[in-house]
Amino acid sequence: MQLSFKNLMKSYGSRRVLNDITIDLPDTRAMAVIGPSGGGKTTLLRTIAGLERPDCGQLSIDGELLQFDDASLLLHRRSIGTVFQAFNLFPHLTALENILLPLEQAHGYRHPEAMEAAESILKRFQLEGHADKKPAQLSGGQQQRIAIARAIAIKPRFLLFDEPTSALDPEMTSEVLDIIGELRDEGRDLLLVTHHMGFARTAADYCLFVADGRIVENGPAEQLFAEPKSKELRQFLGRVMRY
Amino acid sequence: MGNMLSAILSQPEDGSAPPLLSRIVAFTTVLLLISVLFWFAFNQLQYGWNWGAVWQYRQKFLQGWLTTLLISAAALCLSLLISVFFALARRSRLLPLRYLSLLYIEVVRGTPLLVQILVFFYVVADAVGVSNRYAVGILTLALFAGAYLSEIIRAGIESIGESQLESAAAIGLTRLQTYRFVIFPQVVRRILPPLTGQFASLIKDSSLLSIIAVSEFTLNAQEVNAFTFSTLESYLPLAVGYLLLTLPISLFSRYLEQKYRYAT
Repeated sequence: MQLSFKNLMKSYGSRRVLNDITIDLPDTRAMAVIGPSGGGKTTLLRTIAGLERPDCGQLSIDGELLQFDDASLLLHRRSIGTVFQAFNLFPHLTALENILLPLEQAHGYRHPEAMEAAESILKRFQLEGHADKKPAQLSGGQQQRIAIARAIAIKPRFLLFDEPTSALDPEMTSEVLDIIGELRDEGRDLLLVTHHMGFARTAADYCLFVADGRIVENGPAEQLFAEPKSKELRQFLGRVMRY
Repeated sequence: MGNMLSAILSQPEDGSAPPLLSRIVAFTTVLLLISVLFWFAFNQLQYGWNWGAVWQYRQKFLQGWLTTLLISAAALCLSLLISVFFALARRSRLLPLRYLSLLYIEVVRGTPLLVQILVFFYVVADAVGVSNRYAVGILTLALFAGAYLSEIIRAGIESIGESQLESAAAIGLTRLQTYRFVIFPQVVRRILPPLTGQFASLIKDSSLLSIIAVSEFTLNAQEVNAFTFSTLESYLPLAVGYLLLTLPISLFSRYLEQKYRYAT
């Protein structure tokens, strides 16, 4: 996945969350986005996900300029898989139905094909025993794994994770990070906003440090963590690594 | 005192129902107490009961009851359509639609049904040349209930969290699909209790159509009273007749609530 931004701006009221981002990033497989809360990481991810329209500027993915009209955004969102912090499964549907819904309604699968796809993914994630449970009957880690299953069932171009573990306890966190690591090893392209510096450092091959609405620093993950160049990143790493 | 209050307000922690026997005993006790109260009140009354005079008009009661049933059923279906339209219009991107909906809801909820019936029948229907009082009655009732229902539906739609709408957008559902597969199934479950309460109100409000001489249950009971001068004998069957219509709705709603129960 190769991303290019040109003069990307976004404000909520008087607060500027994306501040004139212009950069051509190299083609990468697994990219981590780190940075302080409120710095613009999530807005950046949501713009890439087609869930947010920038006030102005351009975004190209793999050389393709993203159009921000309703129809193009719908097609764009159908082509990628997005996983949120709060799982966002539909509470009135079972785990299986949650996976079937996008397959049947957004991707035109017939019911038997959709069932086959959903069941094989549930099996792969060892969730087949939970297929008929509603989200409220599942643990946080199981819910997030169902949400990941829903995202990859549609065979997306790439996956976006928005702080997928920040609502989970440590044990469930590893359960979810393991899956993300596996997906990366399979060679799926992914972009991950995370607070887990250890995971970002080991699992990602490229890393962005976003603060104050700008990409302050970027580079191969190992290099970014080993030799931070900017004062902001040094301070940030100093704060988050203290404990 | 504090203990009693907390005993009244507390629920069993596991959410399980109490045993059948204690439920039957408790229900019978309450029923018995209320019956005794009313029996006592009616006994104090110096009243010459004359059920015979009213019994002659049983056909009229039945006819009125059936008319009320049909009018209510028709108005109920129509009001559902109207209310869904206005609930969606209220959230529309088109400003004129939004204001139309706002105006409709405020005017209808803020004025007496009695006045609406009179204005609709003697002014609006007359002007457009509709003279069928039943059609006008059904339409007025549907518009009246529709205003309340649309606010219930709107509140239901707005109770669906932003994160779910986001999730629906992220998996690539269109606006229409989001309503159909994500919003409405959950809204229906959440608004069932107020919805059925509104339906019961609609059935009782249909009694006001008597003022434009729609020959429904209440008007017929009033007529029987005028013929026989047996006031209580004419109106008590009225109460029972309305209960026969509203109770099944309540029970059906309970049943649906149980069926679609899920934790959020």
